[in-house]
Amino acid sequence: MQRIVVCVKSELDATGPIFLIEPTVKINTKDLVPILNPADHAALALVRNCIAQEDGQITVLTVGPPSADKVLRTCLATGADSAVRVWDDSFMEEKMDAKNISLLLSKAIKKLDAELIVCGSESLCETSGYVGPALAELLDAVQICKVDFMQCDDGDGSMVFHRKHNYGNREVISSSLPAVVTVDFGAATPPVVSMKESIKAKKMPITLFDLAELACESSEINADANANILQYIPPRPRTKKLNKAPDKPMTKQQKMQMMLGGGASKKNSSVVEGNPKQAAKEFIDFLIAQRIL
Amino acid sequence: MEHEIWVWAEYLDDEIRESSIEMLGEARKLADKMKCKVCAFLIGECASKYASNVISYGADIVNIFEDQKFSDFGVETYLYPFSSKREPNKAYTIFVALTPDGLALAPRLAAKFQCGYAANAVTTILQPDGSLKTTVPVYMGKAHCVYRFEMDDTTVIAMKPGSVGVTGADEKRTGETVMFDTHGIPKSKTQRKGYIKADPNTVAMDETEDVVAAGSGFKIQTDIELLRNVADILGAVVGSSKPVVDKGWIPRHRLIGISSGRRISPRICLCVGISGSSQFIEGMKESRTIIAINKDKGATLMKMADLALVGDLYEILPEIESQLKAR
Amino acid sequence: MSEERFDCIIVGGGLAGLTVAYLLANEGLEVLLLEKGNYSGSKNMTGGRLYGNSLERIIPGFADIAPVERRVVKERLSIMKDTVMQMVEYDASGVFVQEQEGESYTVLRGKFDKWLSEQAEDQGAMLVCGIRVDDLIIRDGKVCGVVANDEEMESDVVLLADGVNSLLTQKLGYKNKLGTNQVAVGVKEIIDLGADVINQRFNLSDGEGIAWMFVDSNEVCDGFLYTNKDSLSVGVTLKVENIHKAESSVPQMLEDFKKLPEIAPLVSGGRLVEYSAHLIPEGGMDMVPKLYGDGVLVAGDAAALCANLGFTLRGMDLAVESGRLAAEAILAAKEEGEFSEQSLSGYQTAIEKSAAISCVKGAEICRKAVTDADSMKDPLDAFNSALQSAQIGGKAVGDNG
Repeated sequence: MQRIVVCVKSELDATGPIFLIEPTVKINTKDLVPILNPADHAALALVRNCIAQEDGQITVLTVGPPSADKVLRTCLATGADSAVRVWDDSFMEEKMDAKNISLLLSKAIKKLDAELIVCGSESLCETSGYVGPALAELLDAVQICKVDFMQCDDGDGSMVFHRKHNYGNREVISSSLPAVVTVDFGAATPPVVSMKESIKAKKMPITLFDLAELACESSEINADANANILQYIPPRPRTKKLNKAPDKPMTKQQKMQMMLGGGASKKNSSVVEGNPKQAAKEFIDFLIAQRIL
Repeated sequence: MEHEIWVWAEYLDDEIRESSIEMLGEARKLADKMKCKVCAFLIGECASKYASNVISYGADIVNIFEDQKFSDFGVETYLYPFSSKREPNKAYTIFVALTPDGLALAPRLAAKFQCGYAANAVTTILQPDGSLKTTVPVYMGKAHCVYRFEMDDTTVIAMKPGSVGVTGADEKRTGETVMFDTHGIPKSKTQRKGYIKADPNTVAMDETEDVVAAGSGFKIQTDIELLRNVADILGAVVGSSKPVVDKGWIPRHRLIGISSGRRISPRICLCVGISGSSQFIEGMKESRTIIAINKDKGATLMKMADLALVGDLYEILPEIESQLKAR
Repeated sequence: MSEERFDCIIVGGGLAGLTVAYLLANEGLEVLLLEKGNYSGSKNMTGGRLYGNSLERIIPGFADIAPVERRVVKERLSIMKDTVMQMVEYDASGVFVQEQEGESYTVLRGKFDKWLSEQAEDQGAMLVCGIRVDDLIIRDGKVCGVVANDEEMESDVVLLADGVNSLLTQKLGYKNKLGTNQVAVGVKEIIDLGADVINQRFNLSDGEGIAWMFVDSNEVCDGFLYTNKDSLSVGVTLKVENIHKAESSVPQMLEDFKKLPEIAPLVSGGRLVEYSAHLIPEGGMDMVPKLYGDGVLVAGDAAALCANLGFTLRGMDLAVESGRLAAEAILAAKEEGEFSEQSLSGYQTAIEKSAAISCVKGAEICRKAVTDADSMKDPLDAFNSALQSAQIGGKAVGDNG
């Protein structure tokens, strides 16, 4: 019976309304609703799809205040067998950055003695993809990212994973355990919530690990988390990041235009208004300059 | 404290990856300002043959770790070159492109070195006081977070392929290459057992390299064949805007736009006959290059595109097809 | 036979459903509330303003702990007669309609209902979200439970609070399919401006709010504007049967409404945060269904307990009140040990005596009276006559009491 931990995060739904008009030190997230990170839910669904309940028991784990119980219950209703939440009264939500969360998760995972650790590849809000690899480092476990299939190998304690590689290809990898595996949103679809499973999930106990339970000193938590964030600014508009092609010789018309118009116009993008033959040629030249053809 | 700029130079299909060239360019810019050296790491079974190439793209020193143990990517083995070269009295800025392997290595490096990490970095600018200001997208790109990293600390800067563009190589550049003893490499805990090539019919929109998108400019379903012919030559996947999917002309898993739940950032996104609703644009604006074909010069997509071809798609597409075939 | 059952299953996690859940759980009953949205409030919408006193009876001092937006201190009424619009402003404390005396508050349903759902859960109610009830379990004419996605759950009694288009009430035969003359469609924008800008533009202090109704004497398109903490709720409503009479689409009418000289400067510079639409019961007594049966009760919008009185709207508070009365009826039936139509009949009696029915009955007359009268010159006088002619209790008392 495999011991599997799926790490999940209760976070604000960044697909909701959030705008920044001017630089600010604290982002206004008042219109955002907390949800289960979709990539984490996909991770749970993938594990449950690939590993039957009789072969592997899944514990979902999160670092968060009591309000995070809601996402744990969603997980309990959609495939998880048990749930653990890590939190201590001394914690401050703003100080829970990816590093601190990874540390706390790793201690909980050690306590749970898991062989397979799975989590979403990135969160909606931060999209840094840091936690999975950090867990592998802290647990000295094998790290495989962007997995969309997993299977236990017969008997020898290893597992087979399919890892997303270039251009939609997949690498088939055999790995020893313990392993930390990350899963992209979309790799698996969680089941539709069932009324009975939800009711059952509501009644299940959620274990709380505080600092004492984890045998962790509060000094191990970095109090300087997020110290190097200066501010938040509105997103920059998309800049043209074209490969710099060698300068094309000017056509007669362009030369005329330049002489009459008093200087070459500086264009960021090219607009081609000629006949279809010209358009097609420009297209192909462009692809060549971008090293695509 | 002495500072070094590191770059992981990856190679694929017998050449240095374009994304690594981008990283070398960024590293070179920073190194020139900071007056320090760019050390590229070449890791692989036949790493050494790319050394001169890497130098021409901006490296001062190339650390070569050539061994059969590196033939398949494994995080644990690929960490070794970096951790073995790291010196306690030096600080490093490490540029890694977020390729499938870079995505696994970059954050792990930051975790191993217990240092700052900027994922999907947009800009990295040296400040007058010597610190590094880096901007990363957060909240699904609706805001950018500005980080400040001290130059006395090590920082890993991970950038999406295509986020900076490449400049040409300078063949006259010189640099030093160093071959390293690979006896200490830990044995990989993983083994590649096989490789499954993507099926072009089912490959996900966000995993394909090139995309062409059909819009309402197409009058009947069979007209999309014009676009498909071009896509086949380019090796691109055909997607579309929502109205076309709603008509049933393109399968739903090929929808481009925010209602698909995903954002795509392909190498090229060729949009044909699409004016560009905000939903569509949100779903593909991270594309490296955007090319649009439309009769309407003022359409939103046309103004946004890196290359806008004004004209009738019914005339331009066949012309593109025949010119491509003629090459 | 299912292994588990509840005393009461509530379908719908809006204000009526949550009120019943709160009260029954408080009395120690095993309550299951099933809400189709991902959280209570996600699928609910109001203009809007909540009159506080029905919830005050249940959670005294609720406004101090609940996420209400602003306390309404000023009211405005604009009457659009042909192309002319006239406006009058008056003190909010000056008017009350039957049993509604007391403070009222602007609310945002996402936040408010979510808060109320947490209170209900604290009392011990089990709330399950993301579940849509498709059918009822009926044995020998008695409602014994619900069916959701082919799963069954049994209970002694079921409370239907599943909103204006309650399919379950229709399935029971308690009401017919919605007629176009029974519902209005309301579309609303929430426009973010910041508290200071709102205070400035409406001459308010922090926490103080304004409720502004726009009444169309042609009865085609009404409008509304409410001040929230940092934003404005601006919207229009029109009866579905009148949509073809309107000159433009409903979304277009909202755009035109925002461009009116009275409104444009107030919303200028604001940013659209949310756009929503919802159906509103406006069918009067004809729309009120059979309210109870063997093992079942109907409350809130599902019972069509909404009233547009011209100068104000009653809806949310009537939902809470109907929830309170339904809970009382269920508790009384539990005492008796059975949940038959007979033992639940106390609900009907209580509803008929409450403000809910008299408001629903008199709404149309009241509204017409408000538009016909010279409400601009002496609004309080006009409201008094309107309430009287509609036979709705209450008074417009003015500053001098």
